[in-house]
Amino acid sequence: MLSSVLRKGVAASGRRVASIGGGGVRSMATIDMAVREAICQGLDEEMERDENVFIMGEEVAQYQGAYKVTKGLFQKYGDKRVIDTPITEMGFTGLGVGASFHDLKPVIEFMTINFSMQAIDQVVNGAAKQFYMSGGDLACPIVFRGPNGFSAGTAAQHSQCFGAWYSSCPGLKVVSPYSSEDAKGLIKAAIRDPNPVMVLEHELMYGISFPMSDEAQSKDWVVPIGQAKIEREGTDVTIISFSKPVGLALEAAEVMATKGVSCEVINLLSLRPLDRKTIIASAKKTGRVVSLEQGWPQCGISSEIAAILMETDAFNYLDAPMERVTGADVPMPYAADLEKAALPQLEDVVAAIERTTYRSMAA
Amino acid sequence: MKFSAACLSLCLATAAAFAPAQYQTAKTLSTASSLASPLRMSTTVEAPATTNEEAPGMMRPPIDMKWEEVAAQLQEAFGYSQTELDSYTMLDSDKEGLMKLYKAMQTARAFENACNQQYMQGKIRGFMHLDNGQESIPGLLDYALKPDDKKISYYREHTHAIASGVDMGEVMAELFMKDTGTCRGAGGSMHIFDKETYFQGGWALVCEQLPYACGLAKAIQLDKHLGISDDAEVKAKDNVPPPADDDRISVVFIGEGGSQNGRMAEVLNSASKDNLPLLIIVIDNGRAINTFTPDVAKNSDVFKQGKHYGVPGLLVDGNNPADVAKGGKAVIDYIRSGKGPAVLQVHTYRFNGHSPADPEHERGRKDEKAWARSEQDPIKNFEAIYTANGMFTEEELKATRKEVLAEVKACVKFADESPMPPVELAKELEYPDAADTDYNLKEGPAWADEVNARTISPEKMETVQAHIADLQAKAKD
Repeated sequence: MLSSVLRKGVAASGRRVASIGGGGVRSMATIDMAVREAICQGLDEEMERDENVFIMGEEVAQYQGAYKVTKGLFQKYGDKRVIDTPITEMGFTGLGVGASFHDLKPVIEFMTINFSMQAIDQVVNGAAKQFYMSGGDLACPIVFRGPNGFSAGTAAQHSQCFGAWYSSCPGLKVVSPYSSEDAKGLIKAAIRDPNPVMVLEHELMYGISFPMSDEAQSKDWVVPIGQAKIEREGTDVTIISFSKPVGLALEAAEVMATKGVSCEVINLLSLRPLDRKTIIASAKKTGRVVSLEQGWPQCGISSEIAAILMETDAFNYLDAPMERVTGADVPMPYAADLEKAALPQLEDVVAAIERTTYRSMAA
Repeated sequence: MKFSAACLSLCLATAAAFAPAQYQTAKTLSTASSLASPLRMSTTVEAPATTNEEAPGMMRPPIDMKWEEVAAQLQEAFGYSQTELDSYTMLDSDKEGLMKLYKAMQTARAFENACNQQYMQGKIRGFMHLDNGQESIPGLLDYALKPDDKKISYYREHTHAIASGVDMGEVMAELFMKDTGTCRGAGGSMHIFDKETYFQGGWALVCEQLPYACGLAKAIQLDKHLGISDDAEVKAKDNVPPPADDDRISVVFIGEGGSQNGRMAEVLNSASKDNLPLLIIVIDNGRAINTFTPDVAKNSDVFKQGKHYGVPGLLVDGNNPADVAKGGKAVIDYIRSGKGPAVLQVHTYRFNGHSPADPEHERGRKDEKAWARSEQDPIKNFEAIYTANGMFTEEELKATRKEVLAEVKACVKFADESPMPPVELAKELEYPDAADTDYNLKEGPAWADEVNARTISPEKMETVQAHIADLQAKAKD
């Protein structure tokens, strides 16, 4: 069984999950699983479940994936369902979109989401608009996936976050996992969804391990698209983020806890549809909001959150203007110091939270 | 062990077969020798049948091309006469020219090796792509390009930049993310830009540089048409025509994998339709990161792809640097003479991984690398040929190697000792002028009317002026 092969080498944490319902249900150990393995497990399970699912992209098959996310799948499913392509994003993305019009379920990997720009016409005009343009005739059950956003020292053309651009397209769904459970659940949900779904993973998260509960290890583990997750409950300030910066938000919450400020951290999981209910409810609960993202500030996800807070009932509950912490408004520089200055750091998030609570920065 | 035995047999065989008028590649002799080891595959998956009949199991056999075959292509596709081609073979007896070629290749090799070491020490970060094995190409650039030819490359471009005249120390400093780097540390390994030497990157998205190169070629044409040229600092244009013998070209580099991209068709069409002075150098090493190009490409003979557009192409053997230089120069001269664009495909091997980050454990790549380093090293082949025929002594070549290593060491020192860029630089680079510059107040070139006068007929000019006056009158309401 491939999934057990994939789990090989991952240290089991030995923790036990409390038995569910208390009615003699067997409880298994929660294990630690790296994000890339969780995605691979999700892909494998969906390919097993539905023979129409196939994977296409550069180096996905024989090389096991440039980031080893599709490791083992070529050996298991062969070259008809795990397909290496030439370096022609526009061509193979279009091919995938066309295949999806006739009941196949392609999973198109972009080696990085930066490369999706080569094929963005196919994603937006080909996939996203198809159902509407055809008056409901042709659906496009395609999944696009790949690492999005910053890496380490990869410079301007390899570090852009595409969350904001894709999330503004009607007809497209956009999701972005943080943990391994998120990653597995979202890829499975994306593949089962009859709409085109863009899955924005993160390269620097692939190797990070998270506990996978018994439930998450099962083949039925699906994370619903359109629902955010409260990673940490709090009462004083809401921090909203997605993808790798969720970790930064949780770190900032820890720091603020020592200062007596209780932060609620929301992991958006879905950028489109955006879980407006959860955002509004949390804003009403805490009265203070900080939005955190890696992408550029202008027309970012934070901009949309600010609009939500202005336009809805949440506005009446705000005790402070919303703060946003974003990447710097420049193409990503290569030099380490410049790159650090161009990305949100812990100090930036803490400072933003302090501004919403009208406290000055600690000396 | 394997190499030195093969080398010895090569030298003996070459010495025995020496003919004054013709130089055979050492390779053609060694394939006859039983010491040339066929590639052993260690794959875990079924490989499609891409084997060569003569050397079973070899995924990508050498092409072992003789000069006669290069010459034949130049005659057929480029219209060269035998007499014209003879002048290109003068390099074979030009000791100074050959030594310069050797030095250019050793510089490329030594620089890339230094990059590898410095990367392991953490001085270089992110993505870095090394050119080891493909040195005959920087050799050609050093031999045949002029400083104001416009060069544009992809992400494996360190050696292209240096061979084009970009300062070696500045390239290393850029990789070290220092303020003295070509891009002040903003670009990194994949984005080397140097205005003064017309080296315009350094591009990471596969094939994106192809249409940009078309634009560079178009600019060369427009300079002539408008009678303008770059000022001394390459900051603005002067109302000075290019020299009468201006034969600049635009040179773009692309892999055989990148050539499968749709832009290739668009660029061949555009360049041929407009007769652009464009050279497309296809660096054919048979691999994407790991994907074996023939597995995903119907036709790997990119030099023939231009046939549909009337764009001639030449295939050369990267293992023979002198042939690459001679053949490449003939192609470059063809373009310089205004006959239009051309493709030069160099069959070569990449000795290292795609980048240091890529573990190459799949699909025969380990064996291929080991074999290529031993049997298809253009530098080793050059040394073997030109020591065997007496052109150079071992000592002379050694002296050059020593010189090169010292130069590379100096540029590492320069990079080490340079300061990092100030953090403020990140914001400074956003726009060329201050963000609130009012361009309505910016003066046009003082000589714009002069250029118009010589490029637009009086009748057309009258029509244009009348139309502008008409629009301005409407705006007055």
